Amino acid sequence: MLKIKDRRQRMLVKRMVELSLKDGIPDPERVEAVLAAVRNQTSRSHRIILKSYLGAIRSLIRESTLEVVYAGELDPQAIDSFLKSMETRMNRNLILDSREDSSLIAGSRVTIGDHVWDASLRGLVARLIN
Amino acid sequence: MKIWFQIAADTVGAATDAASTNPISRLLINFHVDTERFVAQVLAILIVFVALWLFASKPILKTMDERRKKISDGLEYAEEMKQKLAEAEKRQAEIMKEAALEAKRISEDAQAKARELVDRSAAETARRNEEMVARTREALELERKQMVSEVREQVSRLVAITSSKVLQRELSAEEKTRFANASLKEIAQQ
Repeated sequence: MLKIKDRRQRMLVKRMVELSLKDGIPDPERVEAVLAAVRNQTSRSHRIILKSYLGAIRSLIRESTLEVVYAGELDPQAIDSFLKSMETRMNRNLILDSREDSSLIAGSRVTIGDHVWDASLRGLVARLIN
Repeated sequence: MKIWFQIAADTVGAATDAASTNPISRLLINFHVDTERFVAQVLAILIVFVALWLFASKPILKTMDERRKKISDGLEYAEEMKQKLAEAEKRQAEIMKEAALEAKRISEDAQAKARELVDRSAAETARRNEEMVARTREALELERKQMVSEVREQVSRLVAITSSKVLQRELSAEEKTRFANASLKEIAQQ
């Protein structure tokens, strides 16, 4: 998030982010509402506030997205079960983003924010090479 | 002066009369010694002698004394110079001797230092050569290790790529799905 020197502006951005969440995840409708409210307000520091808000929302989305990349096919129940277990583990709601990537050869790779779990054959081979 | 001649003649006349029996007077008569003339000559000689003594001898003696003094001074000076020359020659000889000794000593020192320098250079050169050889050996060893490491890496890479290609071709869709599900379980349990 962009560092804002002004305390009031910092508090405003924080409040905007809180209002944009639904179950701990940024909700598109709420985000739209917040932006509409900001548009109606006249402020000299719109640019700074909106930049900071954008950075915060992006960070939250990244931290809330469970990216699952796999080779082959995944059982839908297995994916759901996995999502639930990860939500319990991270203690927050997560957005699932799953896709197939045959370059992994076999297995899967899971990413949440900066955390990466690589259980693919390609990752194993890369670790062997290094 | 005339009075003196008269007194002298009277004296001689008196003496001649008394000396006619005297052997000495007989001798004078035989040799025709004229008494007056003799006295006059003696007086003249005396006068000349006195005059010379008064007017000539003193300056002459003075001059002679001066000359004698000059000669003696000159001789003394020469003697002194001769002594000084001898001393100077002696000193020079001593200095030359010292200089020769000093030169010899310096020459020996220089030779010793030159020898030492040559020995040190030789030792330094030998040491540098050894260092160079050691460094070259180290560099070669390092290069060898690097080459071995690179070869090992290349071989591992080739093996990994080959294995991945083989696995990709060899694994069935069912096996891939099984692997994917198993990997999710494994991650959830970590």
